[in-house]
Amino acid sequence: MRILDVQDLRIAFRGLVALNGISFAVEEGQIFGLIGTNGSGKSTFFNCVNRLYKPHKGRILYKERTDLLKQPTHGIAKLGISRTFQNLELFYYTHVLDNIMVGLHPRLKFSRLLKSRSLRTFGKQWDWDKDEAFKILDFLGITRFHNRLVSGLPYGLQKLIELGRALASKPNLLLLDEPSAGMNEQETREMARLIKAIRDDFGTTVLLVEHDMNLVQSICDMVCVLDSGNVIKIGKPREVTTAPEVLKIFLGEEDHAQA
Amino acid sequence: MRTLTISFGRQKIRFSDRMIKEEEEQGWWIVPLVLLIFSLPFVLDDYRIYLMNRIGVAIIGAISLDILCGFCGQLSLGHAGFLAIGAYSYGILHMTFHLPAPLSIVGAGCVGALLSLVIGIPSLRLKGLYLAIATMGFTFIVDDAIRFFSVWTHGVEGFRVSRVVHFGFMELHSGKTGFYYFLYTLVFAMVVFSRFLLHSKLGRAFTSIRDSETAAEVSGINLLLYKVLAFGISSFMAAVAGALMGIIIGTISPEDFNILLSIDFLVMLVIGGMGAAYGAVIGAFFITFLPEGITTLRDAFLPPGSDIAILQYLIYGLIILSFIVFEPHGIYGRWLVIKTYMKRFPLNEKRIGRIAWIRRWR
Repeated sequence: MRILDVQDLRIAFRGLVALNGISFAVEEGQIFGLIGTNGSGKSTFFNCVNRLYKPHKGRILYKERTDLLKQPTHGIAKLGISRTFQNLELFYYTHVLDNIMVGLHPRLKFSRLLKSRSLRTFGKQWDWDKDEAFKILDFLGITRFHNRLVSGLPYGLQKLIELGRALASKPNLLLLDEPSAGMNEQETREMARLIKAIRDDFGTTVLLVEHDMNLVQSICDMVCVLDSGNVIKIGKPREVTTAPEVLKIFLGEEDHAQA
Repeated sequence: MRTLTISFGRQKIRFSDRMIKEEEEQGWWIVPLVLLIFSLPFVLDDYRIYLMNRIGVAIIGAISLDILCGFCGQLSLGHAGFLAIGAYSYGILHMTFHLPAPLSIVGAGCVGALLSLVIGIPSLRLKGLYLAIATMGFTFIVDDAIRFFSVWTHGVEGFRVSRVVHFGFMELHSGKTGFYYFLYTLVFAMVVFSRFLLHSKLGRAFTSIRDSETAAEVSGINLLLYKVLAFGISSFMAAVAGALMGIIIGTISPEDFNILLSIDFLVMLVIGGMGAAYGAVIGAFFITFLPEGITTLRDAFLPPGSDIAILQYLIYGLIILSFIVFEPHGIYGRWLVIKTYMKRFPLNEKRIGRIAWIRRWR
């Protein structure tokens, strides 16, 4: 099933065309990479999916049924789409655990408490959100930071916390905006392992924007190359990275001729 | 699950992650505090009881502002307006329509919550300072409305509110201890409510809106709904505080609810510490007791009868200024720092430094 079907999406900011009618589809269970130079419209596309921007034209079909562009911004998370940001958008003045628990928001129902019959099940339901958040923290391996303020933690850890918040809503589709930006080599490898684990353990489809070509080649099933708002090539990572039109964008024309 | 092993000589203690995370907040200190507050009427005279009642109202008002400003991050200068709405609706419901007192108090809260929609809905677009100015305008509008509808509110000459409250079989006079107990039960309920709110789905939605609206919205939080809810809950509590204030004062007039009252509440939050409800309690105590404390100091150090009205404002201003400069997180923020220090006492930095220093000398 195509979990995300982008059809002729177009958006411009005061005449500057950011996305010029792009179309592609993401199959369920894929790790789909979105690559391109700076300003090619990758983050803009994410913001369109999240309804932070309003496209002028086109459709984004989710699970071949729902048109995302007709949903309110806060409704996207309820549908099962969550994301991380390139420049972190964390809640800096709360604890790590609370940050993760905000991600639980769409899954947390008050009626859960009312359904409990005995005091023991009530207590269990009362702590349900905490337990879920700890499961996420355990998965990411950052449980021991649970009662620390986010603002004092190192950057790599903050990225993990944001990933945890996105995971907490048990998404069907996870949008990762440059997961390895600002990370060293070891952290990048760890992140690659994590993204694969997310796909395999949670069954989540992952759509990621990335500059690190090694990461893209090692984990992506499918890659789409964007350049100034146009789709240049879609395909398997190996064939995309060797295609001449892609090399032209990334390396420049003369460089490629010399190579 | 990974484990942490700490060894004392031959003895080894294993902490699992789960054990570390299950340490919980100790609430034992609430018991002596409640006992202290409930035994105060046996010691204090009538004037001090009156002062304590004013403090109780200030606590409810400050907590309600904390829910709006500290939890949800919506800066508001309109709190005096909501207190006025509460006081006058209680007066009209109880004195003019002769509804029973408990019903009138709840009714006053509901009127406040309903009118909060007036600034709750625009708050989706108005942010920060602009929202503060808009809410300040709301205070002026309420002030003018009270003067305009003088048929109902008696305008500037003052609305007389009965100082006696009937609760079924009980008859509570606001100058007596019975009302004091009623008020502080309410205060206690409000503090507990706000703490529970802070750690609920609702409170987490509020704090996430405060810290990052984009991230909150992407996480599935309906900004309009939760902002309106924050305004509604806050205004309900503020209006209840206003109604209680009317009962304590006895005669209410528009001058009691001017813009300085709003600023007073904000100052309470800044001095006590925002965003944790306890800070609001501390700030309310501090600010309401401050003029009293200054008078006591004057009696102790200066010759009797010397006029220090100017000095009083000077000290007030200096205290606010020094808090903003030296301790922006307020008294409660400082207390948290001390608590963390005590908690990890043998392991805090200075101590480690000292141990290293001793080792070096060995």
